[in-house]
Amino acid sequence: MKMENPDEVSREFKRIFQSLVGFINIIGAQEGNRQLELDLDKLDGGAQLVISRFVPEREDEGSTDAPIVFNFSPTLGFSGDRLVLASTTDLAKRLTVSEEPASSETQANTQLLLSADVLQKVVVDNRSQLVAQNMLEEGNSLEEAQATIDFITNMIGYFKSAKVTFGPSAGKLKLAVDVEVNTDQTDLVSE
Amino acid sequence: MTKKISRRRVLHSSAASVAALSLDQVVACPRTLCLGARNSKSDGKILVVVEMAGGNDGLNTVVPFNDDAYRKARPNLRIEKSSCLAINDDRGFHPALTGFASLLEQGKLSILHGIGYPDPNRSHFESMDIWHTCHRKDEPRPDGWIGRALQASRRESNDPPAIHLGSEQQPFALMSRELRVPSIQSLQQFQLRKNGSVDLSETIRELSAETTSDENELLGFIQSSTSSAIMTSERMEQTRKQKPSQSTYPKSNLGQKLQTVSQLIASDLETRVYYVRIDGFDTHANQPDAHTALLREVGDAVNAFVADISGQGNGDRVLVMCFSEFGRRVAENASDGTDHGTAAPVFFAGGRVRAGEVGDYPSLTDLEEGDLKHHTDFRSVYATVLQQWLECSSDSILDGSFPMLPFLDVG
Amino acid sequence: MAVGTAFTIDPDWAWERFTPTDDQPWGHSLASHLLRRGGFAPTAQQLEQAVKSGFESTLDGLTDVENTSQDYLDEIRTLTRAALASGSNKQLAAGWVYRMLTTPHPLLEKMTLFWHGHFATSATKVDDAELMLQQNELLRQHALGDFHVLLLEISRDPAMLIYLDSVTNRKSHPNENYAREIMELFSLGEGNYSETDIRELARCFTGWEIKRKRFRFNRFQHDTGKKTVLGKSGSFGGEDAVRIVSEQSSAPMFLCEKLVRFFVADDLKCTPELLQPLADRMQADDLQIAPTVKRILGSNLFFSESARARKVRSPVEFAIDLLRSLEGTTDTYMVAEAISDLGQGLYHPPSVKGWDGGRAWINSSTLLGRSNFVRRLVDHPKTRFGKQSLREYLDDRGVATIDDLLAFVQPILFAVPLNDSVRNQIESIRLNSLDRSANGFEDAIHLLCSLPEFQLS
Repeated sequence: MKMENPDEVSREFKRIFQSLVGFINIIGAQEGNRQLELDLDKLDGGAQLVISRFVPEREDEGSTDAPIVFNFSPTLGFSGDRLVLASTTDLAKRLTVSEEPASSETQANTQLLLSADVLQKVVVDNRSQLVAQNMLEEGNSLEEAQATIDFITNMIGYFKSAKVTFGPSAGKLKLAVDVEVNTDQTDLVSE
Repeated sequence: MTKKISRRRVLHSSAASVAALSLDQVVACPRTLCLGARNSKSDGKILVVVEMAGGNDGLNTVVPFNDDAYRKARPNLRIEKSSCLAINDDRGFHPALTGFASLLEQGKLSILHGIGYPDPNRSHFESMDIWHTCHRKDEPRPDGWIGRALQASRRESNDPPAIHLGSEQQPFALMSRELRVPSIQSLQQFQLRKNGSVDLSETIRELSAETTSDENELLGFIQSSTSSAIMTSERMEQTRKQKPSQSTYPKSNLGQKLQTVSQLIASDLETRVYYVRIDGFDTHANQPDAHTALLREVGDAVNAFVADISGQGNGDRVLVMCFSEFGRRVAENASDGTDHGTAAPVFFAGGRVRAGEVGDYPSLTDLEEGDLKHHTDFRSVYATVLQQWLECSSDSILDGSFPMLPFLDVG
Repeated sequence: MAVGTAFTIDPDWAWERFTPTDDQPWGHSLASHLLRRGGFAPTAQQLEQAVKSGFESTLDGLTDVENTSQDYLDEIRTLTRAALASGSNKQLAAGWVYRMLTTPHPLLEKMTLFWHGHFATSATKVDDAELMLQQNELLRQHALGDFHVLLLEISRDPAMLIYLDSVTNRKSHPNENYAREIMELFSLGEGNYSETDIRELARCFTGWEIKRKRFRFNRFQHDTGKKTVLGKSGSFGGEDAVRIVSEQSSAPMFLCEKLVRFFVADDLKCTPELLQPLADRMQADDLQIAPTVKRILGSNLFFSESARARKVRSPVEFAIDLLRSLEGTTDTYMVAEAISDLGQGLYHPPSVKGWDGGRAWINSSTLLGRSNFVRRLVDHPKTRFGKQSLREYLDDRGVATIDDLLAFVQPILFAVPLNDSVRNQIESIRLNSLDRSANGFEDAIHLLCSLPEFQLS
């Protein structure tokens, strides 16, 4: 996606992305899943990646048979006026630093652990809890927290037609999601 | 049988050689540095408590393999004589307890049989609270036995009187009205985080060394506490860099905790009690695998710890106590497990224990509702630790007088 | 006027209303002292405002805790409702941190914290977020109210009675636990009652019990016989008993000592002679808390050398002072956890005696912990100052150099003036790094808050 006002928008998106990760964690915690941790990576040429990844538990560190969730590392990338949201850090890195916007074939590689329908329902059902969490975790005011949560709820709307598929890929079992973005809602384009 | 002995021999000698190695490393430098920083190094006695939470099955820890009643009560769970690490003709350790067997052979382990209390409570929480506070539920119990002891023998020190290592809730035993005990997860909590612009440690030390304030005693107190904290942090850094005998510790959770305790002790903290916990002894089902893993973790970790501590030259200052809130029923249940019981053994390890067994093995035929009868009150164990190790009067702390037990060798 | 030395303090002078003089003018230093102790460290702007509006008006403003806007109450309600829904004590603690960071009435939060330590009740044992929150709101409601009412309400508070093992209280077996603590720890202090008083008082409380998380009076279990408590006889019930206790002449003395320790100085010699005038006034006010607190915060003693920089910052003050003075916001879970690690777990006082405070806050592990917490805080991705980065925040306030920074934080955060060696040491930061990519300001804050001077308020 191209950003109109890169500086401001990228900061705003970073914030929202962090909130989104916070969310995945809340939902994940309800399911007993592991937690995503945020990290920041600066690439040559001023591009930035906001990385989130599942933290292996202490005893799992360095183990080779980590659960597949560790392959899921939702990452937000910025480079100049371009913004990339991808499900793995590698993918985001490639997309962010590539000269040309990636072709649509990468879309098929995009993997997402979430069912958009479920996610949106969870968000709506838990709005007040999520608002409170946002206040406590971000130090936001009630108003700011509500705005953030509502914005994210809308953002999830873009992923409405997400389709979850399992399949072997590069020797590993992967959970893949075809993200079909509702491009007619706005000009947000997923890479 | 011979096979077992040889295994123990090997373990024994390897522990000894490791100890010798770490002795050389440690004595070399940090000790002298410490002497410079503080007038005398800490030399007080230290108690390390290992809480085995969940109720450890005493019968399968120290196995009475010749007892028919044992064999009858444990058709599936019994451990055969041939697998046990023999202590004597009648009893042996669980095969996973090579650590304890080695300690016993080195003369560094004492086994106290039949420890419990009257009218036993079989709830984990209640029984654990009784062990921690020495009081029953209907009595006021604002504090724990160690907390009371530390408060009674309070002394000026910049270091915490006790340290709890772990992320779980702080043990009740350490609570007291006056003293606060920190819970820490790792050594990092004693290490200053870096500052990008200045050498924080050095800067603060310099700035707090200037006791500029004659008129504000409180500031003077904080300045000297800060200097002392910085020194502690620097000693800790030194100790960490040494990484003495790291290889000997098992990678287990308890092993790592005890290694941290060892590093804290090596850093000359004046802390007198360290408390660690290992959970999971509540083996209602499929006991064999779980119990094996747990006992191995305890035995290996304590064995490595005692070797490491001896290597530091602190062997005679440190006493390890391993206890559980209760033992388990004599008869096994239908799911290859055992249910909550009563009396159980308590273990002490260290350079100053009187090695061997203390007290009779509880009878497996004279039972009370299917449970072992205790013959020694746990407060006798505490009384001995308090009087002979922590050197404080036990009567007021335990709210009564309890006979000493002969498991320490303190001249 | 030093304390604990040959000088003694004139009790009458001590509690008279302070008047600024040429020697002790109302300026940044005194205003900051009042705002810090009577609440939390002010922002630069709040401090300027206080200096401008004068001593009396600042004191009035601080102690006027009425009129909280509906919007703010709604904001807080969002947090408490969510904490109740999740039943999480951690969320409850984070919510209180949030409230302390944002409250328009810092004194009210500080007094709520005071009573939390006074009527110490731990969630570790109560294990019920709803009851803990209910108690917290009770404490806040009466924090600056009438002590007789507060004591009665807390005596019927479910969390308190669960904590003191007093959920049942039968005629045949009166529970002496609460009877002891209400006199020893809550209102009179040791030596002001006898063991017989405890037994008799326990009889008054028979029939008081907690059923389904609510207080109730079970008249079948109440001992209706005659009791003699603290020299008074009658067939008293629990309400009578609480009133008899709080009407003891030792009560105002006991409370004043605790309040003076909390607000004025850790090591002050609180002799009965010194406290007498204050206690007499509290007695005359029929144990009204607000006027007593206001009298303390407006007193000669409070602004004297015996009080200034004579308190160790509690972990709560350490964290909240730093954040509030720089309009900081951050992950309140992280703050609540850090405060707890430093020894002041909100909703988790260590024993029925509460926190000792003063020198007990300080040891090698907590001092290192304090320094490390500041580092963690300034590096935390969620930490913002006035919704900006620290540099942007300081930029907007004309702080461009380390010298500017010292001049900026000294009046709002430090009770002790920073001496030349501190200034010289911090020069090295100036030399090293104030380019845009470096964290010079963060480093300077980290260093400043690690100093012994910062541990004092």
